[in-house]
Parts: sequence; C-alpha cells; structure tokens
Amino acid sequence: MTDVIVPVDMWDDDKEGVIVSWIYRSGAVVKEGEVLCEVMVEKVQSDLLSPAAGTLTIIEEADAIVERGQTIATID
Amino acid sequence: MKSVLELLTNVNAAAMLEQELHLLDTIEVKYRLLVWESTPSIVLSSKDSRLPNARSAADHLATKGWPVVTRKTGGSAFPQGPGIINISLLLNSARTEQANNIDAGYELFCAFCQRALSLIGVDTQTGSVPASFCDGRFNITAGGRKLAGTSQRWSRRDDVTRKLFHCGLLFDADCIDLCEQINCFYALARSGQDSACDSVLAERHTSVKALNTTATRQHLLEGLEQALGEFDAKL
Repeated sequence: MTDVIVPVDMWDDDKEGVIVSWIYRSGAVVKEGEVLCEVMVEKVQSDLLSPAAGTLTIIEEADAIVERGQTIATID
Repeated sequence: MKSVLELLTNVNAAAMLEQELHLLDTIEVKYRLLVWESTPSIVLSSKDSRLPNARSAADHLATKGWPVVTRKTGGSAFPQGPGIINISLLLNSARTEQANNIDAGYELFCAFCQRALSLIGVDTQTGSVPASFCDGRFNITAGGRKLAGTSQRWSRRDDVTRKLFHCGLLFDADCIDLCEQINCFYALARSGQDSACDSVLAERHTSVKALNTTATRQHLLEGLEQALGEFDAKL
C-alpha cells in the first residue's frame, strides 16, 4: 500500500490547504504520475500526482482542509 | 512607444482559460504574457461549482446572458466581460527554494502589474478588500477599493515549475452590474442559506477609468510591455 501524501514542499509555510476536487473516485485504478486531485491554498491551485499505480482509496474528500504531510488517500 | 503586445477582445472566457492551461503544460520559453477581454460570463472555481444549487443558478444566469464556466485557478466567483482585462503571465522556470513561496510569487506578479498601472498614471497598493468579489490578500487596490484580483495555478513535474499568474483588472466595467450577477449566483446556488457571506458590494470596487479617465487599452498594453522589459531578469 502506498500513501498519497500532500507533499511537504507543496507550499512553504504552515498555511492550510483545501482539496478542491478529486479527479477519480475511490475504487478507480490509477497510473503513477497521473493527476489525482487539486489542492488550493491562498488562491493557488496545484495538482497532486499519484505516487504509484493501483486502486485508489480516498480518505479526505473534496472540501477537506489539509496540511502539508497529511495522508489523504492510499493506493493498493 | 507602440506596443507589440496584443489585446484579444470579444473572446470566449472558457476557451481562453482552456488555452492558458494548455500553454501552461507546454510552454518552453521562459515566460509568456496573454492579455484578453472576453464576452460576459461568471467564472467559478471547482469548489463553488459544487454548491447545492450551482447548476440551476448557472442555468438562470445563462438566460440573463451570463454563462457560468469553471476555472483551474483558486478563489471564488469572478465576473468576466467587456471592461475586464485579463493579464495572464505564464512562467517556466527551474525548481528552486523560492518556487514554493506563495507570497513571493504574488508579490512579484503584483509588482509587475502595479508597475504597468503606474506607467498609465494609476497608483495602486495590495491587500484584502472585504465584500469584493474573489477577495484575497493580494488584490491590487486603489484607495482601499479593489481594482484587480489575482490568483495562481502551479504545475510541477520533476525539476520544472510552471506557474500561471492571473490578474482580472477592472478597466472600465460596470461594477454595479458585475456585483449583481455575483450576488445572484451565490443567492441561488446556496438556496438563500449563508449567501450573505459571499455578498459583494459595488462600492468596494473601482476601475482604471475611474482613476484616470484618459487611460486607454493601448496605454495599458504599452505599460505592460515596458514593465515586462523591466521585470525580465526577475521572472
């Protein structure tokens, strides 16, 4: 199992972000490097890429507040 | 000085936003500046497009001549249309420590836009303007009123950081009409619940024309081109 983590270097301070949208739903089969979801902080929107190939299980749904380093999904 | 920059007018906002995303993924040069003015529309972030009655609100606004489209940059609803000039700066740079600094990016982009505005006789500041549409910490303001909103989209692959900086500048738009459309969207999309938190007030906005009646679009293009030359080394 691989955790999908908000990269600690996605932005460089302690602001909180929000998951704007998931491209895939739980149960979807994703490829490594694909865009999984969009994260926004301070009106800056960024893509979060899949760290591995496999079946996605979403932990934090759209609109959830997230921090850098937080696990928001897993891939099996 | 005659500008070589071109203002694309009467374009479709959704098509321009798509074009910007395509350019963001494919840009090979150090930077590129797009300046455009579209037909009327209301542009939402993905988040607002999921409001309970967003679809019916969008249908209603479309019948009034304000189609609703979704964008890939952050923030809340922002109007587009004649009188609103979009300044989109695409940057393609190596990944550095500074690349993840949100404030530094906004400060650089706002400084660039502010320099262009100063060259056409419009002095500005930056900051939040409560009850303005798509409020944020890095609005471009004049006398405490919102003159422009800014947002960003980042695309990072391996060692390359590509960024889209976007500025929606109120040039000679009718702010009363714009605010009415934004308030209409949120009131309908939220079914009247909590829509007050999104209400915007026309008097919290201003425009280039209100600040300098002699400024023209051509003057703005010339200002942007000169500012681009001055900022070249910083981009």
